[in-house]
Amino acid sequence: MSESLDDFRARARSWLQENVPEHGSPMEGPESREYALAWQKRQFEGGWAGLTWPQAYGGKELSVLQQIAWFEEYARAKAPSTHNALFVGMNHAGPTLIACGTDEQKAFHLPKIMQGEVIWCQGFSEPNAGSDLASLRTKGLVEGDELVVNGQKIWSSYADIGDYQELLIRTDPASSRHHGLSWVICAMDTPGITVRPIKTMAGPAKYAEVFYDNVRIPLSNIVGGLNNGWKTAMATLSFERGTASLALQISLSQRVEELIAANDDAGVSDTLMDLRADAAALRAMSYQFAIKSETGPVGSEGSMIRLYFAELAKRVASASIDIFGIGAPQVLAEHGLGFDYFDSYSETIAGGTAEIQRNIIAERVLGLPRGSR
Amino acid sequence: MEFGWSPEQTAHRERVQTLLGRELPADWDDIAVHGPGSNAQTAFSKIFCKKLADEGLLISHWPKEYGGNDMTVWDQFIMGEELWAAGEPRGPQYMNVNWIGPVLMRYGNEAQKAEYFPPIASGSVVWCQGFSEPSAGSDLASLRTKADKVEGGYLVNGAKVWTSYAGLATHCFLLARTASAGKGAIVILLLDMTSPGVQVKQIPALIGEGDIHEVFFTDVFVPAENLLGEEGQAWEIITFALQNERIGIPRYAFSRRMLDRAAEKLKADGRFENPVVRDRAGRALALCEAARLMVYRVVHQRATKAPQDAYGNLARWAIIQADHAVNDFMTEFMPEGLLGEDQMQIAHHQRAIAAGIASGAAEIQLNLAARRYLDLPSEPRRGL
Amino acid sequence: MDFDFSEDQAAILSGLEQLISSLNIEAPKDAVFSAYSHALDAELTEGGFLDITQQEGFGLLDGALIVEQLARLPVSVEAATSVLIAPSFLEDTTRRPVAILQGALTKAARFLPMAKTLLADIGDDLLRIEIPEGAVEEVETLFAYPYGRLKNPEALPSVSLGAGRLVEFRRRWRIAIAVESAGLMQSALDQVLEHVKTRQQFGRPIGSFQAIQHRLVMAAELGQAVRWLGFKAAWSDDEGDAAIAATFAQDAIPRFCTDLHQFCGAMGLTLEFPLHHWTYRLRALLGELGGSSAQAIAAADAVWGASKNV
Repeated sequence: MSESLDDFRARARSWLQENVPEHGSPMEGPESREYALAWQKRQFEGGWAGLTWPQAYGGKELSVLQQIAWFEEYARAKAPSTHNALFVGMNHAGPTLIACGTDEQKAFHLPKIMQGEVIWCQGFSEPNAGSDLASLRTKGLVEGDELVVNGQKIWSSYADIGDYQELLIRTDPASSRHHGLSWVICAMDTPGITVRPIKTMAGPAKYAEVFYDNVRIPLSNIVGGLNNGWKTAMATLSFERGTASLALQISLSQRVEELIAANDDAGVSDTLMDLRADAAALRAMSYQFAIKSETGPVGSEGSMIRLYFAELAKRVASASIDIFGIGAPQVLAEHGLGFDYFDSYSETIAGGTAEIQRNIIAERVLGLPRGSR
Repeated sequence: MEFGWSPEQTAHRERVQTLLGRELPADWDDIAVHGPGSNAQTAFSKIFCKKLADEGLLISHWPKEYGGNDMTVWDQFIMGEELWAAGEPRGPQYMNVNWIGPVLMRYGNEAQKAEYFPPIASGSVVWCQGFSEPSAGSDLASLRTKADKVEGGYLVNGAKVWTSYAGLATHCFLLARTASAGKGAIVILLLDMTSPGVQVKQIPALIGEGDIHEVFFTDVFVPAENLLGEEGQAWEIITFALQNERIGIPRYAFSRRMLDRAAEKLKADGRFENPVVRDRAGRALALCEAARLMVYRVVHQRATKAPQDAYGNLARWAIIQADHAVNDFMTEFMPEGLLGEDQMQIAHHQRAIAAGIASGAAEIQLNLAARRYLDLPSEPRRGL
Repeated sequence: MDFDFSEDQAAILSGLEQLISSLNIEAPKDAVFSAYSHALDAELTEGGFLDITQQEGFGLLDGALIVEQLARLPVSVEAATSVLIAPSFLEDTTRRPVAILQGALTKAARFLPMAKTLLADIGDDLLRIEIPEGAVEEVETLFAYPYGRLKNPEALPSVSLGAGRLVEFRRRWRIAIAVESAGLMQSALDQVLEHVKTRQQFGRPIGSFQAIQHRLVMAAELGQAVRWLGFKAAWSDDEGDAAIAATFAQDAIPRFCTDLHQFCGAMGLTLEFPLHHWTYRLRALLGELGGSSAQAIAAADAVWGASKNV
């Protein structure tokens, strides 16, 4: 007999009350890795990891509604942001492996992710392949049962502290554009990999460049088939555009409510009410999308949610500064609201820029003719 | 750099204001609300423009040799600003004096000048602009109205659309396509609107009464002497015409006047005490004043005979922002005005809706400024 | 009405340009959050640029032209307050740099770490406070201006200039916000234009995409409008003009900054790309004097009269 949603929620609330760490996460480096892994391990041991992941690999296979209830309680309890070093593993690599991986790949990697043993990082973008991802050039040549990888990736979040990387490379040297790519699991301790962290204007080194010099990766690490990487990568990105930001959206509306509670200036209260209304609308769109995704394939509406969230996150970050004033301690403090504000600029860039999302919405949701690119 | 007016300019502005105070009838607002293309305002324009002509102000910015007074660019502009803020009592005739005349001075032959100038100078004709077509709006180059060469002239067939003032126009500044290929394909014809085969149909629209029409041409004969310039010169002439047309209209002046009016009404009702209302009014005000300075910068460019840059396109964008902000402000805080209580507000609302569309869509302004002001590379026209 | 520089103005600006180029100022390479150029400060003082408004035949507009030019540099220097605000409120204008703040004296303020004088709008009075050595603790920020906070404001003697001076103080501050924003916006835009003309994606420069072109034109229009509104306010020193200019600037900054960063993609988010030298500072100016709503309300009051007791 299954637990009612209310009971589930109550159980989540009481567990979170007792287990949410007292202090926030360090911003970067090995300390942030240890923090993220320890918190994930704690959730796993409490039975709160991989809520929608398959039971066969240690997940809970719960409903989307339960997942939502968990995220709501999670935000209410001010648990550590899910936009941390675990994000790629939980929201990209894990779901991609579930959708496209082999049994061996799933059995090896999914438990490690859920149990807080590994950090994943992303390896899609290159210096000349950003929005135009299909123009990527990092090569992986098949030699025996290995790929030999040479090239460079950039904007690889958490590469400096990562164990594995979801790596998108060109494995058919004669191919161009979307053809001949492969999605590969790359162990970051493989010889030939060099990581150079990049400082962002928000402060910490959130990104990195990764260089590959004859890096040998077993063919068995290819996910979704050799030269079929574009399809696998699109699956990855559609997770990001769809339900991955659910937790972030819920904590964003929580943050709006906190701002409303903190504000005593009538001049900005109309802005705050706008934000509250938009946050509620976003959640409604997003819940509906998540519930729909449980029963069948979903369309490109995920891009609308992703875009809406990204722009709202920027507005909330901006409003936070306005409320406290530029010289306020909350704003100027290390990792304060000023940091959040500049960090929020990445929302409309990472994971497909707002312009790319708008193109997708225009073409696939509104049915407008395709422009020349 | 300085932002003040000379004593002469101030005196000139006062002279125009005095004239308006004297010549506008008590029920002027009731006339003006119908828009420059309405029957009422066109009828009044014939009275008012005659008065302006008597005062020596109708074509005073024209050179002396054409009956003008070589009025400075700034004085002409100051007059335009006052007239536009007052609801443009010249009605459709502002086009005659602002750009039809100057274009004819530059490209017309002596016979054309002799024929067309006297009625413009006396304020008794209405010109309309036959540019847009059903399939050639923002993309003017794709126009299809035909001008086939025949014995002694051209035979025109086709249709124009969105033509302002066509219902009362006596003349049309018409763009049409001949059978020749390439640059020579487009010609400008000065068409007599009473020619057989011209049919005008008013389009009911959101914007003001009589503002937009369809004009149909069925085997309309236009004599060869009504060709303006030479075949092949059309784009040059149009570019010159648009430079004169688009900068001349200080639309923000009307929006600013409406905003002042709105503030007074809201104060009288006690609603101006609401900080949100004043906040929003202040932002709309800033947009109006930004548009004003952007336009002044364009006028300055012309007054100093500096080469025309794409500042006019930037200024148009600024004006559109101002029109929309004032309209949005009044719609949100004074919706009662749009429910029949305030005809002027309704008129402003209608014009603001059209602000980003009429006489060169906002997107076209942005395209032109991107290329000519920011020097950005062109977007490939088709495919890769 | 003249939008070109006069001969005198052109001469001042050309002198300023020479001074700047002699210093070889470069964008800070490392993660310097508060790059203050003491060398520039010294040269400007020496060259008499900071007290231009007190010189015969020159006025606030000429000072504004200098402030706008200086804001274009990738480093910061306290010029706006010294040129546009301080002369009316300091007995000894050599006691600079000058910091300004509004609100409680415990708040952090721009340039306080090197300031010799603080002018503080505490709501019902304008205070002038001389800052002795060691009275300020630095505050680390992301705003590319040096920020500091008075350690013990109670202990510092202050001169009351009276509530009557607040109107002028805020007016000048508003002019300074607009004029400085204009210079910052110009440099930020220049950076981004260069980027979009050279950065290729989908086989063409990203600056050839209409979606980007349109928004860049909008950004350019915002920058130009801020510039003219700021200069006009400096010329007229009028209450309404000043509030309008600051309203427009603060209203424009969020859109302007986010769009410009957007077009530089992830590159623009790094400290290796210079855009943040200007956008950091723009964001700081956005929050001054209570933000855009406060300026808009001040503009409405200045133009249409105070709201109460109509």
